[in-house]
Amino acid sequence: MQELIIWIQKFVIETTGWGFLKTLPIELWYILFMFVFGGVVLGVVMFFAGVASYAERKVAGHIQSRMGPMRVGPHGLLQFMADGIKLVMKEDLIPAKADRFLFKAAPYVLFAGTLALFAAIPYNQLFGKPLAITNLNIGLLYVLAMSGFVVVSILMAGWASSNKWSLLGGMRSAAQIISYEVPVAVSFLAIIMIAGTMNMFDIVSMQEGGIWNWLIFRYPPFTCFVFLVYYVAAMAEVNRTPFDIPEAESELVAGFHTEYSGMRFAFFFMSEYANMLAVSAIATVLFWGGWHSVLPFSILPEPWVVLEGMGWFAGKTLFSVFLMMWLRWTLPRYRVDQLMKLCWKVLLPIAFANVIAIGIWIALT
Amino acid sequence: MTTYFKNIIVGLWTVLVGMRVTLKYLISKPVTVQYPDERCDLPERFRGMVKGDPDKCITCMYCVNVCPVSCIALDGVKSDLPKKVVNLEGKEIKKLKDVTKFDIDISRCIQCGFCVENCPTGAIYLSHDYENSTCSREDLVYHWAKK
Repeated sequence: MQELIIWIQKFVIETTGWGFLKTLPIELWYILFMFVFGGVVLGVVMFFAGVASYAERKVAGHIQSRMGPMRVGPHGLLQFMADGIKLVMKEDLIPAKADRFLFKAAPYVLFAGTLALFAAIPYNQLFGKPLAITNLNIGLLYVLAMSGFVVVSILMAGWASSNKWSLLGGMRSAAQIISYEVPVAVSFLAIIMIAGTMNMFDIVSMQEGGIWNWLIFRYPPFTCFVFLVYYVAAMAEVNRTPFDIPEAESELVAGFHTEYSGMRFAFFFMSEYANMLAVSAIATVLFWGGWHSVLPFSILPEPWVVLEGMGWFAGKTLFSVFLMMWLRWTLPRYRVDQLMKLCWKVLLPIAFANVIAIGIWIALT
Repeated sequence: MTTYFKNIIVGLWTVLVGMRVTLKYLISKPVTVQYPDERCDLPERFRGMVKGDPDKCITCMYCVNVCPVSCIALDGVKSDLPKKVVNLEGKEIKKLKDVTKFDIDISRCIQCGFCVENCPTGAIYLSHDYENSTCSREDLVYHWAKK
């Protein structure tokens, strides 16, 4: 990270020729780049959330033999902008008996926690260096902690709304996310055992050289099961259908965000899609070989390998997002008891059995 | 223990089956159309708005009497020069009255078609119009009689 900052500092000074910039302390550069990287991630994530909401509606429409949005722009492509403008211009309502501070804080806490997830994910490599905001040596632990952090804001929103539906939604969400954190953690454990590191960049680096080196195919069939456990549990963690009981429309109106309107609602909405992206990116990094190609060699010549890696990473991640949408419009919602049963009686034993099996395999070879 | 694993495998399999079905619909053509720009073809016996034709009406009052919701109001005066109307069987019948009032309140009409079945001359019929929204309730009462 420090090398990157110094390199950028040198690059900026050389290209602009402003020598006085050298007198600025390095800490200032750090703070500046904190904002720059934060802004880039925020922009990408918000744009993705908009496009994903459009894609979701299109996928939903076509699966149900409808067309989805068609009016704003060609094939409704600008629909998400219209939605955004609508949400910004809407009246911001706060219920009379709400806990005003918590009510206002909850969406921002949620969105901040979601954005923080993206800090540790490596997107690509540049000359053997990770292209990530920060290359944490405890990346997986950080990701796990941050995805558990979301539950705090959902509870805050549910409690502060002073509404029975919201409170029930918040409680359900707390139960669900805390439960599903466990299978996710255990499936991460299997990955950590194989990789011998929690550094996500190193985990991707060891998957280089063709599809058979991806971790999902490393110890067949156990890592496939680990992937399934991770994917199901991750979908439950980000409250996607079929696990969306915290916001089950037919039971709880909209769950924890029933009372939210305008931009505050938009933050909940965006963080759902941002969470989807984060979970998909983590699945790509851990199981699908990150930015590495399906083939053992790269198609493009040396300086363009970066672009190819970008393409692979984006392709895999977006496919995973599409898979989540596809599953959403295929499966009906679980009941609360079925949800808990699935977590504690099915996913967790399978995850543990996989960890033991992979451990024995590693010990024998 | 066997049922446990069987349930898991069956569960995964049924998810895949469901996904195959939804994928099939995802790539097939949607059945809906962009409504105001395109319209579906209506079936021949589509029951749209009930319309009246005062030139054919012989003021027999069949439709008024048969209407279950009493949405038709009909009245006529004796005509000075009686005309002849061809009925649905091809025979000519005398039209002794001029229609002075032929009101159909489509806000009440249930499109049952009883009036149409009973009309001897086809003076009342079910059209293919279905865009009947108006800004006031009075506009929903259609006056078919000539002023």
